[in-house]
Amino acid sequence: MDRSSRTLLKSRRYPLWVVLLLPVGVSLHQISWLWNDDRLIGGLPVNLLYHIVLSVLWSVSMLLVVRRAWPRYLDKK
Amino acid sequence: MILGVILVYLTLVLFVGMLSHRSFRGTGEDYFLASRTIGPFVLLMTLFGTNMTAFTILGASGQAYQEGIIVFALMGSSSAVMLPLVFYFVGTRLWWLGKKEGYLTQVQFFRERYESDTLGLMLFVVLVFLMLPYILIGVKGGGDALQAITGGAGEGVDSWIGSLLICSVVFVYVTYGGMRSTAWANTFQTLVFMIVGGITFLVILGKYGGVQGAMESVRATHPSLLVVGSERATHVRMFSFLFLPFSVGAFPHIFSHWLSAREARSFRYSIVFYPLCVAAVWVPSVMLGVVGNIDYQASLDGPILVKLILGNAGGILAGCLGAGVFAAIMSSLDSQALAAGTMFTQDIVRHYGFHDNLSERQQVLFGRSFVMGLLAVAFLLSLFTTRSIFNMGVWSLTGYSGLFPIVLAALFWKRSTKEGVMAAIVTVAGLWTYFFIQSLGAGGDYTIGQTGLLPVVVVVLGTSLVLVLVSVSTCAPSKSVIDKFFSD
Repeated sequence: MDRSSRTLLKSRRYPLWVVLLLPVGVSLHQISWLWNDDRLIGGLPVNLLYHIVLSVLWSVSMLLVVRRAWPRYLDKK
Repeated sequence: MILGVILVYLTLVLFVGMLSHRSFRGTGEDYFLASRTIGPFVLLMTLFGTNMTAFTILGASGQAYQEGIIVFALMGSSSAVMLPLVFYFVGTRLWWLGKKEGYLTQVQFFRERYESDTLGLMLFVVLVFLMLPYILIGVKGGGDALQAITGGAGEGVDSWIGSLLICSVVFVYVTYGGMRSTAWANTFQTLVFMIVGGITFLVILGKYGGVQGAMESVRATHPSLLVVGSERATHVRMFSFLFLPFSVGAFPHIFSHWLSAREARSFRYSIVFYPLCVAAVWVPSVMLGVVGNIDYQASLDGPILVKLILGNAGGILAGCLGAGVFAAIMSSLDSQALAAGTMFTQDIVRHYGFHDNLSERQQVLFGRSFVMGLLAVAFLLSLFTTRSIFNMGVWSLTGYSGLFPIVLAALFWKRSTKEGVMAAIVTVAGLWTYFFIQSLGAGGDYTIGQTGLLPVVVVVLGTSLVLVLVSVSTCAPSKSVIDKFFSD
């Protein structure tokens, strides 16, 4: 990894916790402990419910991203 | 009744599209990018609507009818997770550079970023090649959907009539108002197919005893549809599908929509609400497909959603479904046609024919001519196209995903070189062609060695590797280029 790439990871543009959201999201998407469970919760298959909840939580995470980690250079006139 | 509802809907789309023409300023930038004035809500609706195709409404339920609820995890929640990050990291930065340097197309950006006309031309050829089947799928899919909804082959409206309707309506509002008409019409159409999807879901599931009743029936008769499974191939397949949403980062029509934003903050709604929009459309679609197994167990001769609606609801809902399908198709087709018109006008005619000197009026004229020509060609080709073209959809996504590492490198890796990017484009073309040939005869279910691994994973990783290896082996870009693109 060259210096420019290392700089990006630490840059003022994108805090490390935002960059780490990618592996976190991928991991949450891949969690398989419910994959063979055919229970219904609130009428919904538990696997489907898991991914609906993931989508909602991801939306909340994105709200945090745009509130706490918005790159300032984008707003310069 | 069904045709009446669809015609009323098309009239409304035309009205909305043409209404926006009142704000038209007569310049090239206004025609192609709405003078970069699109606000947050319209940007969210237009990005979402452009990414939702006929597949989301008809194809996802059809796939769920066969495979069960895993379809949402594979295609829905993978997009919900990946796309907001693509908007955040890639979309906003491309918007910033586009505004700063006055870009209208991806090729303009890449040509200057790597100081190479040849690279721009290579990229143009690949982007257009991958887009054509996508446009064709929309035109053909609209005709087929209308035929299925109105009674199927032999009894329903001929497929070509639906294709002609779609092309004609899109032609009128895109040539008339350009990006602003496209964005407004997309917003209207996205709201229509979200509302229609919700109503369809509630009416049909109501007939099966609500969500609880319907799912319990499925659990009793088809429990395998409610689980994902734990085979090794399932894990690999689930991981593979996370690579397909990268295609959005390289779509020319999404690039155009990004650049049309009024300010960077216009992206905020898209970043935050995109996962919720995906869930709102995909979950009902997938659940309806699963519920279809209760009453329809033989192999189907049409979309399961159409069967469910014709079997459980009246003509008005079927008409609304037709309108919803048309909405999903047209909200993608208009953006693709406009983006292709923009590329032909800016990247070929203006750059090579007029050495970047083309009056505003001429730009608009060429843009309109290319949109008209593209739609005419797409309609004519749809007359001779079979359904096998639908398999090309996934292959288009694979190709665009393969180009995503190039976009990332151009934005964030100063050391990437034009030789590296050229080698990467050749790698995408080579791997894409190789896997496409390998897949012939395997239908739409081809995975590498039947392991569950989609070709898109190898294409993306292979392209990235070649890009890095060739870039570090060649001369670094000039300081002036680095200053221009990384001086934030």
